Amino acid sequence: MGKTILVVDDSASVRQVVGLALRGAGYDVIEGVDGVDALSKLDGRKVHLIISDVNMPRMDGITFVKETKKLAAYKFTPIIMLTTESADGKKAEGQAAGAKAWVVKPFQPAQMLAAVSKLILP
Amino acid sequence: MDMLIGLVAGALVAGVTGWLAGLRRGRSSGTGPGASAGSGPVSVDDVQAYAESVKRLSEVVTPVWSAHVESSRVQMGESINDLIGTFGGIVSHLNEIVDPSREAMSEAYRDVFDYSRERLLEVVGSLDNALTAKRQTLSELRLLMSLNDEMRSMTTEVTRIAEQTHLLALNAAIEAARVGEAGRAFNVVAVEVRQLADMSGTTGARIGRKADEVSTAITAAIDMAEESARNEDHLVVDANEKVREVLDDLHAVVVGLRESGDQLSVAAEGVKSELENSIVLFQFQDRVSQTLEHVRDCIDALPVQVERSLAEAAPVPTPLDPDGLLEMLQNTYTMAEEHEVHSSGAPVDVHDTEITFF
Repeated sequence: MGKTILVVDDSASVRQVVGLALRGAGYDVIEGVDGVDALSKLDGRKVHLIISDVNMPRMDGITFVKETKKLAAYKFTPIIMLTTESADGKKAEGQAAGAKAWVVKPFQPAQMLAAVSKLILP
Repeated sequence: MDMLIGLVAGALVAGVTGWLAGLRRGRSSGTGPGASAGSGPVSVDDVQAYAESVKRLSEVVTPVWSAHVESSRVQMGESINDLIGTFGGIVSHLNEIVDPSREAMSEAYRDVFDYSRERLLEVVGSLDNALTAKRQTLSELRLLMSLNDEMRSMTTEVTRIAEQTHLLALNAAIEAARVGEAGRAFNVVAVEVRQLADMSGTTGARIGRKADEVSTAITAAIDMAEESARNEDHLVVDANEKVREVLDDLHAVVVGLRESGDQLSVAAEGVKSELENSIVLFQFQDRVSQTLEHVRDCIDALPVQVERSLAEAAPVPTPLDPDGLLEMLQNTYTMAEEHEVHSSGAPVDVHDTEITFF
């Protein structure tokens, strides 16, 4: 059984592109359309890594990271922010919230998979 | 999009600039806004009418622009999403079908070839076995012929012994007759022996004739068997040759199919790679969609600003705030490219992937 990655993005096309790259590398992928939806997916199941957008309706990515870190079962789950945001201030917010990496779109699958491989839980 | 923004900006800037110029001229000449060379004085009613037209422009036209932007954004998003799904499905099918089929086809070809070779060699082996059995039979026939020859020799011996016995019995009968009455009984025995010798000779001769007949039959059988064995020898050699040719042909076909399969797999890998690269390129939709959202929000803000301009200082409107509108637009940007386009007014290239580890 492959490792599970939660992909959170309000753009269906981004979820599909990221999902295809991850599934092609053998990972199981679950999806959330925004922060609220993604939190509902953190229901106790094993999630080895999270990839989240920043700007999303209902709950943005920074808030989602903060809320995830409050959950005991997912406190140490590594989170990669995947966003069009490239401002240093936003990156600092992500780092302070607990994200492990910041990837600015558009991403190259090989680079994304390398980052995932580096950070994912054993 | 550039044309749309240009239209908005052009219409508003031209209208407001003209109005402000007229207002300044009117105030300086005391004839009211809108005065220009060759035209009459501009009244407050004129200004209000113009302001009303600007308001109507913002209320009627900008929602349509905004709706077009949003409609285009949604249509593009849905279509790109469908395209990604379709491309992803093709990649998935290629993964499911081509990769396993390459090994499966190769194994199937090998299985068919091996099975065919085994069956054909079985047939040739059966022919070989039949020929071996025939040679064994021929050998047995030759042995039988040899035994029959011995039997013929024995019958000759029997005939010779019978003749000698006959001669001996005849001599005994002569001697018995010479002795007279005393040899009568002995004569009877001699006669009997002579008769037995005759019968033995006759039987020996008959056996000899039968042995000759058997010899003739065996010789014929041997001739036929040898002829048949020679034919079957050729048959087996011919069958072996044909089997080898068939196996060579079959092997060539299998190799050809395997090479075609390999070429197909390589081509499919290329198609899959191209599709995966194409899917990655579809990320442009997310960036373009965000830019369109920001422009749409800015367009939507224009009627609000016009409304506020007209409402705050009636009957003479306050100037619009294009700088404020631009600042609002700039504050919605998330991408470095948006800032660059904003400052340069020209298209820019998309930046490469940037990864920062914390």
